[in-house]
Amino acid sequence: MFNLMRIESFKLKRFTPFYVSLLLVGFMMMVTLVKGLKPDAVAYWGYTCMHDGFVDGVQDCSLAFLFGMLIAWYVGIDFTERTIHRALTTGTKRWMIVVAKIMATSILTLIMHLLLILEDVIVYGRTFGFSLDGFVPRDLLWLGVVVLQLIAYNAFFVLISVICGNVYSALFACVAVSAICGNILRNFFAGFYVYEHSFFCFAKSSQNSDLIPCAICAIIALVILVAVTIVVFNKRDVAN
Amino acid sequence: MSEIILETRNLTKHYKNAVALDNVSITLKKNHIYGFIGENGAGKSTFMKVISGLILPTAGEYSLMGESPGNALDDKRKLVGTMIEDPYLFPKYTVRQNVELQRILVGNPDKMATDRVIEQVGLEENKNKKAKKLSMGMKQRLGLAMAMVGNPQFLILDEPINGLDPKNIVTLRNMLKQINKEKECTIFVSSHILSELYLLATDFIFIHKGRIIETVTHEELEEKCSQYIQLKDNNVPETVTILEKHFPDVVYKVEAGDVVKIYGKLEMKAELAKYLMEAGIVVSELSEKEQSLEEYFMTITGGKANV
Repeated sequence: MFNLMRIESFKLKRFTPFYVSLLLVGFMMMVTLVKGLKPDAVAYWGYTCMHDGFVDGVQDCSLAFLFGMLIAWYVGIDFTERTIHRALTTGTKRWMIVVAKIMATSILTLIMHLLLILEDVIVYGRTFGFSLDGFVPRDLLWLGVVVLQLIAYNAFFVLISVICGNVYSALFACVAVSAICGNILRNFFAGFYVYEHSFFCFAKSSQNSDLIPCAICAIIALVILVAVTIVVFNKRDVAN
Repeated sequence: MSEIILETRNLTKHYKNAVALDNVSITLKKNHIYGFIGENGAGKSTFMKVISGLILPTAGEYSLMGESPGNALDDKRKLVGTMIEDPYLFPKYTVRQNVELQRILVGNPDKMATDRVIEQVGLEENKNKKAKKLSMGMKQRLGLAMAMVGNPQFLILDEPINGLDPKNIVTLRNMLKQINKEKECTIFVSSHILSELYLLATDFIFIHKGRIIETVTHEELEEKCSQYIQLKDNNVPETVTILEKHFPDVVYKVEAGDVVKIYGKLEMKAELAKYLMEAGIVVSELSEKEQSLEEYFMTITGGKANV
């Protein structure tokens, strides 16, 4: 497992789509910094401090489709270029490959999400003044639950990519599913308890009423998704 | 008795309605070079993928170095080098990075092994070149370097000389012979270029439509390939009847132009001539000839009349 993670880390560092995505997020950050917050949005949501940027960023799912794309690309390319064969023919257990892929993609998406939070914090800080007022240790717990949700989210798209078995269909399926479930359904299922506490919606506050159901849902989903992915992969011929 | 590297028992693989492998039972012994011969779609790659752990058999079982599928076999797989169809290269990584990743994957602690195998396959001048920029011959050599970096005891190579020019074919052949000799490595290699396999292998396994139809040593094959009786006459159907009646064990093939080729039993020539004469058949040719490995392969897979 350690050797497998060394290889995944080597691949992560050289994963070009990740850097392109970082550039994209960096560009978005620059645009928002230049334009600043819209006054009507500030008035409507009642933003008052830099901490509101953290609140806004930590629950922001707007990069869902980008996450879906990165996961599909990272996992699917190994099937298309048949480099996954290398791990299989050298006796690496299939469950290890699944776990390593989830861990690797979770690092990718976590970096992207942290960057998004950082962007919001900087933009809000620039608008209201840089201050740590409002930040409490419980925010870390909130972030931890969101990280847990993000890992479950990754497990879901790793499963889709393993089922697809090649980068092209995985990209199509993951981007479509992530855009629908992570971006579009939010507009239709606003207020729907189950959906709002699933891993498609990151925890909306640091209150127990949000964190506990979100964490339970993420853990259950993660366990089920990892188990299903391992079963699917174990029964699958890798023969392309 | 030699140590057994691979043993399969009734290995079967079905794809929906198609049978890719049909009760394949073979035994590979240590330090031999096995040539795996079969036409396209015969089941060569499927068999290699099954024993490499890429695809799961529908039925049957196999053991690799004495271990059946499970945790112990997974450990043994680190001693198996594989190159099935194309080498599994990371195209954007350099030659060295590709081999180094494989070294880490097989858990070989010897860091020098990477550069050593690159040198062995003659890629040291290209070690910083990206894999996607290599020629086909270089890719095959890189694949071989990756297969060798774990100090394998068993090499599984599917069509390793595909796309290679004659010079590279000779280099690869010499390399494989050297690995076999120096490291006592068992090699299981398939190829369409039968004459090349003939120069490399010590044993041959013929597969046809998913079934093993013959397993012979190099010496046996040499004997079988060496000579046959070529008969040309004016009544082939009657000739076939005589062969079936008086020589039920012989392998023969009827070819265009009223030619019948009879394999293996040259001593029957005089007796056959007697039967033909008694039947009033006019024989225009009854001679002893030699056949190539290709001709032998055709005989046992397709052209044989009494199979």
